[in-house]
Amino acid sequence: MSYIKFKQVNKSFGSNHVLQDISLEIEKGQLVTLLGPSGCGKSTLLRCLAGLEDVDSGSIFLEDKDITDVSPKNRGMGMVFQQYSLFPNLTTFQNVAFGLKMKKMDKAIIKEKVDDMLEIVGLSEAAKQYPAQMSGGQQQRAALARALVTDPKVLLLDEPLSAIDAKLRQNLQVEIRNIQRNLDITAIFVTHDQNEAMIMSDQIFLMNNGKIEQADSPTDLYTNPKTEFVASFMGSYNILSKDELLKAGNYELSCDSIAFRPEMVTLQILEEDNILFEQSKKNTIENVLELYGTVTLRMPHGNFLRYSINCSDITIKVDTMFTEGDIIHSDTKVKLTIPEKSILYY
Amino acid sequence: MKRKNIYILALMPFLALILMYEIVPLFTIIIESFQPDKGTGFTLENYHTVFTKLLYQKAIENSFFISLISSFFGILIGFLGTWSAEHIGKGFRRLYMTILNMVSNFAGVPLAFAYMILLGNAGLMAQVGREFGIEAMTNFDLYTKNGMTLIYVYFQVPLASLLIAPAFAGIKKEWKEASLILGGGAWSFWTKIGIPIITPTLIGTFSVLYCNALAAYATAYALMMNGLSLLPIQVAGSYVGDVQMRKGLGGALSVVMMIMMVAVILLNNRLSKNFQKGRVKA
Amino acid sequence: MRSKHKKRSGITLLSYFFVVITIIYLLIPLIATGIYSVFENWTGIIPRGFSFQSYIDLFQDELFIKSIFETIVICIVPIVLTSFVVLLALFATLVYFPRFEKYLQLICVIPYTIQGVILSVSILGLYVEANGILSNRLVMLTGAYCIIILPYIYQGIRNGMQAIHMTTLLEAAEMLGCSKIKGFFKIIVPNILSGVITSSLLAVGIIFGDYVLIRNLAGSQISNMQIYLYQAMKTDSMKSSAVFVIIMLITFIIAVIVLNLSDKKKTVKNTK
Repeated sequence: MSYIKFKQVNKSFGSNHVLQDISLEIEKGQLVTLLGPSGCGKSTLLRCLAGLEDVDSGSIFLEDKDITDVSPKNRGMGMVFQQYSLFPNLTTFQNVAFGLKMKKMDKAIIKEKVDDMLEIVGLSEAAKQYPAQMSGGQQQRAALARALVTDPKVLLLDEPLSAIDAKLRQNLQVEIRNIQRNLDITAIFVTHDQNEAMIMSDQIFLMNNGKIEQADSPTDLYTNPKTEFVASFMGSYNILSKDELLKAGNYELSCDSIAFRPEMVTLQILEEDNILFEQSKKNTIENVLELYGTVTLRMPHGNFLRYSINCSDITIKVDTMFTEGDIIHSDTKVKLTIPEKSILYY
Repeated sequence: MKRKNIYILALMPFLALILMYEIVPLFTIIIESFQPDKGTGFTLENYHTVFTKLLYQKAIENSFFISLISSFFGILIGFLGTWSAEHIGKGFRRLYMTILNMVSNFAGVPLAFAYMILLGNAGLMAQVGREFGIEAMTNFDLYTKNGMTLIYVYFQVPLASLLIAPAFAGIKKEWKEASLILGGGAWSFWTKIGIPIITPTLIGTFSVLYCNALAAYATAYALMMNGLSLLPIQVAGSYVGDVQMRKGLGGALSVVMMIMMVAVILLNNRLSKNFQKGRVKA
Repeated sequence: MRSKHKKRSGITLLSYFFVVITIIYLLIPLIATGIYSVFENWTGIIPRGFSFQSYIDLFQDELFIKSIFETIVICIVPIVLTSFVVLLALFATLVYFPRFEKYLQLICVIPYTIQGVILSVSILGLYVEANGILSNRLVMLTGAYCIIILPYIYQGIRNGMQAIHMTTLLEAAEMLGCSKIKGFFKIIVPNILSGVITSSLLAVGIIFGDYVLIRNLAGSQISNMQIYLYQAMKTDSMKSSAVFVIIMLITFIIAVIVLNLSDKKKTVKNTK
């Protein structure tokens, strides 16, 4: 049985139909990411689950209970916001204790729980500091502690790391994931960063224009994007339309477009200068797709090299391992080979 | 959605306050300007009086020119002062800004009094003039249109400065440096970049100063009572002081005054917009 | 390089000159009147007969003491009332009807433009012949003061709410089991209190410097220090100059406090 369930949820802001007939199910104890470009509806979906936005139609269930009309303060969820959500007049300790005080818990119990939670997020030292005295990373840890200390049924995270700089963000991603696993809590994480989604999630809901484009595990989403949009969003897929493929290699296509990942391409330097570029007869993809082009740009990306290759004015991205002596220089003519099994057809 | 209805209650005290003491009084004054003082009905008689009687013609004329001229000089001095303040030491600039803030509330009756002590008939300047036999100083007459303009300029300067200062602060050091690297000197930076950027602020400031001068009452009244015909003095005079309240006439004068304000604000907004548009195109 | 440096210092010199001239221009009326107030006789160039007699006389004048007292009293009610009313209205508007905020702003800016004269006569014209409490002069005056300080109070509270990201804080409170109204009083109000105090002080300055509203609306029922100064001006310039100095001192103290408060707020914001 699913833990959280959306049934045909619709939401509009004026003429903008932000959520279009959304239905989804989430298992208990998972970390699920709502991923998508800005304006795709991912934050609205989260806010509807939190109760901060009313839905226009449809219903939301938590543990099989309809919570569509329950007010946010009675839904028993914890939430971490983008930024600026700590109460500026309260110390870290007081911020974390706030939710427990609202439940009118005993003071000694509050102290014990808050101290434990501050320990977990690594903020014991900063208990007496005010938000303005802390770094962005510390503030978000405190916000996380504040959301977790009330033992919420669901933890909601609305782009909590978007205002934090890159290095620190990576640490926090791992940390949040570890805490979520250790506490065995169900968490919904909103982000527009596909790397972040890949690192953190059990399952990713990729959204576009108010709809869920694909819901899958990170690996499936990456290796097997079901639509062109997913392919383009999930990574650096090369996407070629029918016309572009015809131009690049004189290939005939029976579908609209194809996609393949840059690391699936093998490069081979052409020794002879006058290799036949233009094939006279039209090809169809059988075992492999073969293209010819010239290297225009080379950029190191961590431990691999990314080449931009111009095939009759169509640019193809190719990734190779970064090994010395293997570097191909600009203006070199190359042959690109892509095995048929790594090509996706749309 | 039903939850929202409760929160309309939170708006109620505010609505009551502004309806009772802002919206309804202002509407009433406009309506009454079209009504005769005795009886009911629609009439333009009040406006006819305003535009034909010499006293009121003078009031409009005086108010308009004093506001215009004092705003112009206020901006000029305020601009030069704040521009200069950008080039002086930090501590001194702070002192200057503190003084501006302090004197920004120096207006009305106290201001009129200080100027009487300073420039009045038996004031300090006249005495100095007498001592040294400088006629121009002895004979300076504060109680004229020009004297009034002089006082108005005084209270416009701090207001103008405080409104212009943020615009100067908005001119980033990086822009100056970029201009310097591109080979521009201080002069070309200010003529090509600095002044165009703050011009909309200057135009907006002009609107505020003009309205401020037009509506100023206490300074003028304390200095010459009814000696110089000005719009706010005439407006107040039609309601207070006379045996009979002349609501129709007072209303018409008020409406004329408001139109004079709104007209300048709209004109300036338009000017400011045109200016910005022109800059984008250029 | 050297020529540029020379040009630079030329501008600096000119700047100091302008600023010093402006400061002198702004301070002369104040200083001259201040000196005037502590000398018995200032005919000719040098003032003669230093004395604080005019101040001593002043503080023995019952009417003056009464005017100080009434100035303070007449400040309090409008400021408390307007702050409270605007707090509630802005809360409801920003959280539940954000689309209407621009109308709220327009309403709150109108008094800034039309100012005292038209406001006072329109209120007087409407209520002078009314029955009951509305025709009470003090009620009219209080209402008018509420409106005249509205732009400042509105701006102060609005800026405060914006600076602390009110809607996010309220949502956070709600997620922690605290209703919006409760969250408003527990979280928002304490956090914007300093802003409310600053704009209240600004409002004190406005009401303190008012002459036109109190003259047109209060009649002879109540008088403030401005009215007192106006009356004194006609008879005794020594006494008036002492009143003047006291009025300006109070005005400056208020201005300096407001300036420091708002500077402090800025620096706190910067350290974030």
